[in-house]
Amino acid sequence: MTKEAIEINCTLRPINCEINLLSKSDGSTMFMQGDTTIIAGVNGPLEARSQKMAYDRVSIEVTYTPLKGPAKVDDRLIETYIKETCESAILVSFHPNTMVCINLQEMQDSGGLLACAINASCLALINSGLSMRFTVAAISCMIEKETGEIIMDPDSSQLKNARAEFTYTFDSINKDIVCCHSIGQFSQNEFLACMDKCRQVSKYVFDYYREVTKKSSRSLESEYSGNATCIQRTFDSDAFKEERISVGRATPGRQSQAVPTIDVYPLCPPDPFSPFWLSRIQRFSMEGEHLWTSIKYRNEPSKRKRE
Amino acid sequence: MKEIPLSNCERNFINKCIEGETRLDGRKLLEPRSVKIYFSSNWGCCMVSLGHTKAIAQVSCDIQQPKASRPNEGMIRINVELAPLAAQHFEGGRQSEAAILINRQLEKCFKDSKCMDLESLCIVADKKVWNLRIDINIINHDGNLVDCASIATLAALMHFHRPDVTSTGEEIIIHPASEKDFLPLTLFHYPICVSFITFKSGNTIMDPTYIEEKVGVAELTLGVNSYRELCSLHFDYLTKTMTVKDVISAVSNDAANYAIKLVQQIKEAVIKDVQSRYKKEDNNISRFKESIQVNKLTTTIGDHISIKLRKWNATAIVEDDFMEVENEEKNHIIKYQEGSAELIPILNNSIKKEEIFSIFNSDSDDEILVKSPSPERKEIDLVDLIDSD
Repeated sequence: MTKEAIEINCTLRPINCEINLLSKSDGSTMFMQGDTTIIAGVNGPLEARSQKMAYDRVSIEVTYTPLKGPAKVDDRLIETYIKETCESAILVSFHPNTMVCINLQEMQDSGGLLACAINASCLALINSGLSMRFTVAAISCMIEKETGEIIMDPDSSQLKNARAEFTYTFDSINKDIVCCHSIGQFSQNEFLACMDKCRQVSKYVFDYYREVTKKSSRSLESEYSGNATCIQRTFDSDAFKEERISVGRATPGRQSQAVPTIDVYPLCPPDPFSPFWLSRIQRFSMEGEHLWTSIKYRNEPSKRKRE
Repeated sequence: MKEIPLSNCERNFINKCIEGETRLDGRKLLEPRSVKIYFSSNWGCCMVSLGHTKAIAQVSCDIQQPKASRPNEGMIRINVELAPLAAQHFEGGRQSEAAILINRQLEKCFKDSKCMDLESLCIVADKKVWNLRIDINIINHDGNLVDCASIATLAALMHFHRPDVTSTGEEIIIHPASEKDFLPLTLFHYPICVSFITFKSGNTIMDPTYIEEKVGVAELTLGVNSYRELCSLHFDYLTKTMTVKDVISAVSNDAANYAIKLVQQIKEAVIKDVQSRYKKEDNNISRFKESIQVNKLTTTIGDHISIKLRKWNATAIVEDDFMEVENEEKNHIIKYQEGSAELIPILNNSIKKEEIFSIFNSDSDDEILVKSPSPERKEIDLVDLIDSD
């Protein structure tokens, strides 16, 4: 086999994304692979409902909403795949007795919806700052009916003449298979050949995750070191419980807004399940009548700067 | 998960702000947030963002038998979903009370105001009519869901094109897009909802955010069309103590002005998108991509990722069907002296030296470390250095 034959260019559809676009979710992303678009939001760790609470690990709840009508069997299947995949990726024993919610909304389907949904939920998990064992990347491919050729990341027009369709999910460390979904007829060898190719392609998705995370953490660093302000107010009252503090902060990734939004949070008692307190307020003590707070962001930009 | 309640501090703060005619996002009292509309590459699908509130609407159609009471009219169904993606306290599954309220307000605004030409949706009277279904999914909840949903519904309805149908006596033929162009729906007028919240101080604001909705004492939603006509009205006290007077007459003029401006914006957006489709300049470009700003720091927009695979055809399909064959291929022969050292003579020395190092002090260690040629010994040296510290 000559070298020219070995090196063949193939294209993945362009990947676009916007992270941190939802204000109500802890981590969110709009992920596009070609025209296939998914919005994913992650909330958690939250207080779990009693029937879903597990004493030794975090329980994961996935909701997938299709564009048309109520959720059907296929949508439940996607939910199950994402749940199992994320359960293996998240450090589940890290937050016992809590719940992590992953919510997805289909925006547009033009092939490779499952792969896009898995990638979107992984990127949203990265964005939410949950501790993960590894990241996951899903790649879809198909075998053409007539030629038997393997096409990576096909779109809906290519999928019309597909004999078999695969979606593989790999972890970032050993590139082992985490999840696998197939439709159609194929031989064992075709299956393994497709898997090997997808494994090689998965590298590009992992690179993309890294690039996105790098870019966004850099943006956080520049913004918070420059603009983060902490307005402290102490109100005249005798009881400590009555005191409140308002924290003004520049919202990440919203430079277009001239006026920073002001989030007001009660100071005491901190809700142990609220991620806001866990991640941002490191410590607060009382000295006389002044309240001291220090804000710690998930990516700890200030610490890195000092070094 | 339960909804996080608003603290008294926040409540007082907002009330004080509104009393002083300021709002947290810097708007005036009767100033709405900016509206952005993005269309999907399918007909009748659009995403609308009203400030941080986001909703996606999709119109779909099928053919059904009409109701016996209205045999020559098509049917519309509006379905609003409040999934947990919008806010964590929403439950998935069946419609919640809040979702039903929004649903009903939209039905009043669009169905009961008779803005749609339902008779044009009839194919065969009493037998076959088009049934339109509008699904609205809220993506992010930052207040004023009704307005956002109504804008999304109107934009989706104006954008939607249904397949053409010819009826040949008994049979009906639905033409695909390749045979006959799809037809747009007919709308007589364009209604949208405009919401207001009245506060304890008596001030009324337009387009409330999530936190303002929580503090207000009375809510008012007006369905207004572009001809300044009232299509629907919803007024509700959120708390039982306050009485609010003369809100409707005070704000209806602002609502009508805003509705005219907004309908104009929606019309322009729809016309622009439909025209670009007919010109087929960029037929395959996904329009949601436009919602991603190019130079924003939390976004990435890339072109095609061209990848080069080294072993693209190296894993040629093996004739044999057994898995073991593949495993055998990986076991290649290891040549003599490849990646391994002669173990036996050095092993003895290293064990001896290890014993010596542990006895000697750290000064002599460094000298021996330089001399030692094999990587195996270096490891041992390192261990010793740690010990001496």
